[in-house]
Amino acid sequence: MVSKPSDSLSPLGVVFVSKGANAEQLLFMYPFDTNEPHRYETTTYSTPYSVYSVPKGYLEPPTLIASHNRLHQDQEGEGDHVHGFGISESMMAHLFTVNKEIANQPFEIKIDAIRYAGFPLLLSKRLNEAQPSSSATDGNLPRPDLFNIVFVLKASVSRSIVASYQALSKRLALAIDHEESRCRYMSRQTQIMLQAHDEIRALPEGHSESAYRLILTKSELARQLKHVYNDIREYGFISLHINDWVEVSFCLQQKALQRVGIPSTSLEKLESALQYLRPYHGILVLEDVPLSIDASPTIVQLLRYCTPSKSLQDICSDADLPLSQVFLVVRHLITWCKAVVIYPLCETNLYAVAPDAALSKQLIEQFSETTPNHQLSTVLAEFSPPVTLLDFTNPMLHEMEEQVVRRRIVVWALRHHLLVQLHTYLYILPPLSTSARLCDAPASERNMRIENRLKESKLDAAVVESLSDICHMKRDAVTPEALYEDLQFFLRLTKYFDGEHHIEDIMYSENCNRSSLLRILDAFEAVLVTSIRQDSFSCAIRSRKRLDMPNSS
Amino acid sequence: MFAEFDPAIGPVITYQIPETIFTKQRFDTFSAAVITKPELFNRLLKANLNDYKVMGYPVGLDHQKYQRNSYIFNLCFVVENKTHIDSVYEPLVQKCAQYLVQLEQECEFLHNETSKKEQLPKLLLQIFNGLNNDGQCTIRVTPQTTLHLKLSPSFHGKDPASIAPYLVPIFTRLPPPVSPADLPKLDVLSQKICPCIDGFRTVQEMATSVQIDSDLVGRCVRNLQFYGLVTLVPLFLYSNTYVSTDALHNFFQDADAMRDCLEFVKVPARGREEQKGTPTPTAKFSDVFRLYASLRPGLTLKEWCERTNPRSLNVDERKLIQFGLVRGFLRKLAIYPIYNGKESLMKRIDIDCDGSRSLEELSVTYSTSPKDLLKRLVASDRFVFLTK
Repeated sequence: MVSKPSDSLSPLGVVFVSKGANAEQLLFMYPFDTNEPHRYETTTYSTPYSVYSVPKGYLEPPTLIASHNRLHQDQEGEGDHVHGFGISESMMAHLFTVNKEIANQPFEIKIDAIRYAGFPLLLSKRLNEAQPSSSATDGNLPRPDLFNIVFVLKASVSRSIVASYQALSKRLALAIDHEESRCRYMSRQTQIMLQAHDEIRALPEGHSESAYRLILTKSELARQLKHVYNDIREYGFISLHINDWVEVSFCLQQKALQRVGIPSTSLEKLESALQYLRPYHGILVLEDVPLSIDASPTIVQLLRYCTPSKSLQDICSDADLPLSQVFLVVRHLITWCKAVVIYPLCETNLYAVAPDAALSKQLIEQFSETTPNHQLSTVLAEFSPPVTLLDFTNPMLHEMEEQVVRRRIVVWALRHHLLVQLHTYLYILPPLSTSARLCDAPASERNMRIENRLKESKLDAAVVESLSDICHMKRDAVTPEALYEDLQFFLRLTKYFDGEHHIEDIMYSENCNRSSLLRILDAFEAVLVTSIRQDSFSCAIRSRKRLDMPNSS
Repeated sequence: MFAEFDPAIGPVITYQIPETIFTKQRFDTFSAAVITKPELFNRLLKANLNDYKVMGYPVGLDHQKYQRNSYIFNLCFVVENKTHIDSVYEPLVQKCAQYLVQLEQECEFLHNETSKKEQLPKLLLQIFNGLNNDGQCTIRVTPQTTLHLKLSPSFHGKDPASIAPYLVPIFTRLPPPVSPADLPKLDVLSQKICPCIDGFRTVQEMATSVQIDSDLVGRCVRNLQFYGLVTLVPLFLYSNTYVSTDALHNFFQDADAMRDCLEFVKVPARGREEQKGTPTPTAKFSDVFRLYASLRPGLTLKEWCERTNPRSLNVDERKLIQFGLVRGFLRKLAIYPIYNGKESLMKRIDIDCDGSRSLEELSVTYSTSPKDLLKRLVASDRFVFLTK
């Protein structure tokens, strides 16, 4: 399946080149039958001021050699026409097979609006001599010195994506190199491909056979490269066995997340967000995770126990795993784009429509399949303005069954990044300067113990004044001891009122329940400012920090 | 770095300015991407090495006076690999190559050994110094040819998006980067438009007031935006809802931004004589922050004003919102009407309301005000509204 052409993260193609004694050769590329004429987006920066004046001298000026006489090349047929890849095949073979000196390191070159990323690898010399080697044919196998799997990308992709493709190329190259040392895999595949090229070349003029089609039927490596290309375009994720032996898996985070409707992010951002992962977070598994046979049993166990309403801490105790291990597994699931981090479902959670939510047709259809009685747009409209889970699944309005459905809808919407959770962050600040003073009792009437306690605190004078007022106002409602306790608790909490901690975070850190925390916050509301926003984890992933700015190189 | 094809030894680097970066051996590893085969002539080519990026624009010239009937050269710019901003050099590489072609065609600048030896290194050094020190240079090489080069820092390899007529341009700095004294230096269009930019008028309104086509005004604003002089904010309306974003916390921690903010949101003194002398009172930071934090979804600015009365705190709510929008810690909630009717799509507006167009965008299409459109859509009872 071919995904949308507008997709900028996917490769335009994959090219396999090698260089050996028999010179540089483009062995295989995919896709090879791009019938659609490729639009050459040649970057020419023209300015109206650049006027060329050809002098009328006695000397005929030298003429520019035109760059791509494509028509001419196309007529030539013979496999040397310019493909959808911007440059001709022989040119690719020439450019991508680099000198020994810069082999074994990432490779990147940009020509006009197309970028080529790969990892040229010198085949390592260690041949497995111990193996009772070589029938007569083995000796004649062409053994290339160097090969390079190059991904053809759009020039506008970001630097981190280029690095990802280079890493993928390297992984594939190392697997192939290993198989070469084990059983001369590379040599055999090269031979198959070269033979196919020869066969096609031997055909009479005017044939329409493509050497690459033939290679695809004969060579296992070519089929694997086709899989790589298709899977990256489709899923952003590959998992395959080179020569049925070495497993190679790779995840292009940007693409994999985009597929499930989550705005693209990069590995760097995911990594930086992981520092905000806390035991009170939960995870939402994005889809059924097909586990490789070598997968760690911990992952299996964790997946069995995790539900949207469980925190990592809960999972620990249910699955009987140490927290550190759960963190490692979660980290793993996140970097492989198999799960997203959420705050566990809970009735007080406040949800809003994600600012970057995109309602694609595909999503709307998928939604109506899973929940036939609801319309996605109507459901999401209920979240503007934001509502809590309790209000959304209101037991006064909805039957038990409907409530379950509604919970499922929220989970579904979170998974597809249509909803985001808003947390309440707290700041300690003096009250508005226009608000009247709460009371004006002289200092002598106030509770000395409380006054002294307030003096010890390092709070702003205006805040202390208001706190004193609040306490004085409450003197009749509660006993002095209870009041002192409350103030004590509040002062202990002040360290969280710097806008870095949300209510759930404070609940976790102080190990207190929501109602007692809210009671205190309510009591001293006058000196607090609340602000609702997404938590640090989500912010770090979506941050517009310049990590991912368009690569210019 | 200037490389050419020497008929005797093949690709060589003739000059490296200001100092030698690549040895002969090193150059051979990537010379295929500098002195290329004819297929890649006149194309922008960039090789990323592990320490440098080399970008060039190989050129081949055909004439029987050359030793092999053709002459290949490439003037490359070399930047460190770590840099992100190398795209700003791309147009210059191309332009330089074209200048050199012109010079060669006119006066054999490169063919003539003496002019090449004497002038080219000097020229390269001038370009290097000019761009690195001032970001631009103007070099007169021959009486006919003068090189004009300028880096534009916001260029990222693509053109900026065009400007929707319902957006409001606002200067990024105070005092405005375009002072009245600068006006005569600008082009005619900018001369007319810059004085209109007050942070409250939309592109459309400005176009009406100066009687110029709104498309032209949009292009002029886009140009100003490209050079970082203006930024665009949504139209200020009391019926809008504004909310703080997670960047509000960064504002809380940034003392400079706070000071700027307090200065900016002052209520301007009304024209009364006795007030002229007294400085306008400055609001307290705690008040301003409380105001920002109290902007909530589901609360229009009108309702918010009634509740908080910002004027009593010496805060101009219009400026307060402006400041937040420009600094990016406020955003306007956009309303996206979605057609929800049972019957099949009847009118054009039903199709247009698929959740991808905001109310503002629609109101421009149907040339009405967002407020009226919203009223009508609500009244028709066939739409649901997403705010995000």
